Amino acid sequence: MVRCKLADCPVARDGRCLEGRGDACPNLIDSESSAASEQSRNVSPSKSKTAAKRAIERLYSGLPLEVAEAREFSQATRTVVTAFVGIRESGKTSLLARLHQMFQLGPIGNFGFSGSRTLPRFEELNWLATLESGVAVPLMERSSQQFDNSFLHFCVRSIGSSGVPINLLLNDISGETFGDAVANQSVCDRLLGLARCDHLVLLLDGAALTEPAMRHDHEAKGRNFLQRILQSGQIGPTTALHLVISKMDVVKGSADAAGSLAAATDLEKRLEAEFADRVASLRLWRVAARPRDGSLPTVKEIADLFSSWLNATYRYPATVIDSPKLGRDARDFLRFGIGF
Amino acid sequence: MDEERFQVLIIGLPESGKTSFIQALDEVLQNPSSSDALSASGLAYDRAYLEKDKAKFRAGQKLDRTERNVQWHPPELWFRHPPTGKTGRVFLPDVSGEMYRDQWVDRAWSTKYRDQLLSINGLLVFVRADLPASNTELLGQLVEIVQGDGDLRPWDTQKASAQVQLTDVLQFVAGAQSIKRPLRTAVLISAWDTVEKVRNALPQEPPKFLEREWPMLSQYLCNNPDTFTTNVYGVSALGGTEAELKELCKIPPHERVKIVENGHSSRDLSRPLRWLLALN
Repeated sequence: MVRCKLADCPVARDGRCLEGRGDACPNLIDSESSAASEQSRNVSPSKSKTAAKRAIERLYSGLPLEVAEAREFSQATRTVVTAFVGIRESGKTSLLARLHQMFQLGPIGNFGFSGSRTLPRFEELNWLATLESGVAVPLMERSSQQFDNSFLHFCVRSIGSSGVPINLLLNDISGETFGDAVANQSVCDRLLGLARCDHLVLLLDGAALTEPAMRHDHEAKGRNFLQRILQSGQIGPTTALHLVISKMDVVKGSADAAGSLAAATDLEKRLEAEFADRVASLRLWRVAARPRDGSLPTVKEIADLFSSWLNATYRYPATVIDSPKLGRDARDFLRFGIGF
Repeated sequence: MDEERFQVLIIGLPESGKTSFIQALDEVLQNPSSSDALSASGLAYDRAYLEKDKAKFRAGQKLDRTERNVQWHPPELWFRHPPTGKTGRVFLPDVSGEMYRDQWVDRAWSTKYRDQLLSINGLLVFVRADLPASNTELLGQLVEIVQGDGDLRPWDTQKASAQVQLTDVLQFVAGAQSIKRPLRTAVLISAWDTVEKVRNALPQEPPKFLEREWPMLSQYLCNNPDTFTTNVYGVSALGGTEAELKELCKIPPHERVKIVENGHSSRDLSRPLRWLLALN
């Protein structure tokens, strides 16, 4: 007979769960098994958890996908991996959260929403920018280092075509890790998504560019990070690099807007000159994903950026896929020397 | 004549109009509005669940929220399809909307529910026309206007946007190995009477309304044609708001209802069922 961990629950008396969850309630205890296990501590673990477990089936967690879960997609269907890097509070998470908000309003560019395994995490990222949370100004949760090797997920389909669905895996590397990676190659080496990414998005904090004293360090860190991962081979001729200047609302609203915009342009030119011929492609973007000045997000630019991830990948020329040396199992993550 | 038995799964978050629709459908079957409409071929043996709220529904009163873990026999409607003479029984378990919210929050479902998916002939998915599909983002002018109430509420999974929760619940169904594919899915936009109010600028065609007001859900269903074949209806099962029902209750319940589909408006609430069961 079942009973409940909650003292007030009448389930033991009349079978009705206090919370109305029936057999699926996680508080259920099989009292006969519990009593037996209390009598003898040498008895094997209580059957109560087993009885409750039999009635319940766990579904996917909704948290960012671990590498093994991500592999399931990349081995089964067309998958694009995009990694996001940048110093703390440069706007990585705001950009990702904006994509989720945009899908709640309709397709992004020419791509319609076809599913996501990480909807709860997307909702959590957006919570502190909603009226319902009680905030006065939109806030954003900082990326957590625990998700450095995890992936948010969208599945999309090109509108108006009978094309196959495309899985997009988004790797949000925390700003703390970015800083550590600049300082230490071994930190870079642990970032598994970089070696697999089709697209690398380096966010450059527009707000930092408005402060002359901060610009140089910000640029240098971005440059050093790219140098590190090129040096280690984690990115290279098959990687599409996107340099994104974020918080354009702050840039345009700054006291010296003209100077800030000129600084942004100069920064873009220098990085382009240094890295354009070392990667498959280098594109420049300027966005405001979550403006605080009352203006609206730059949804067109963000939609174009999003579409660029799905429209081009340089990673898989046909000869590699057909190569007899690599069996079907050795695709993707294993192919790039990342064993789990 | 052999009767076929059909199982229809009803999905919807709390207060989305599921129970009202079942009650209204029962009334309409007993009082069909046209010769094409399904009509009642008899009364199921056990109608206790329907009858417990029948007086309230007929009087135009608000129904109590469906309890979780209901032990009643699921609503069972016996019907005849006059154009073909076909008869059948359809089972529409009226599951509490909280159950679907629990699936979203707990990321689990009962194996009993999962096993039942094997036998379903179609889905009825309910959304409310007059409730927001998403949480309100602090954006644009709202950033300047809103002061914040000083009471910062931490993230609670239950507070996620409605269309996001509902989309994930459908993803769970889509992930079940056992369902028939593609699964006929009728999306019922309840409280449709609010859309048809004068000066309401919202789209008056249900598919366009869904696309505009529940875009993520609409995209998800359209972009998974291998799993879902979808038709969208606007439905008013009660006929009006609580205030309006004070007057409307003078009219028989089967005459208060309305359903809109493909520009066609009628009182035949059996249309979604006929489509689900391929009885058109």
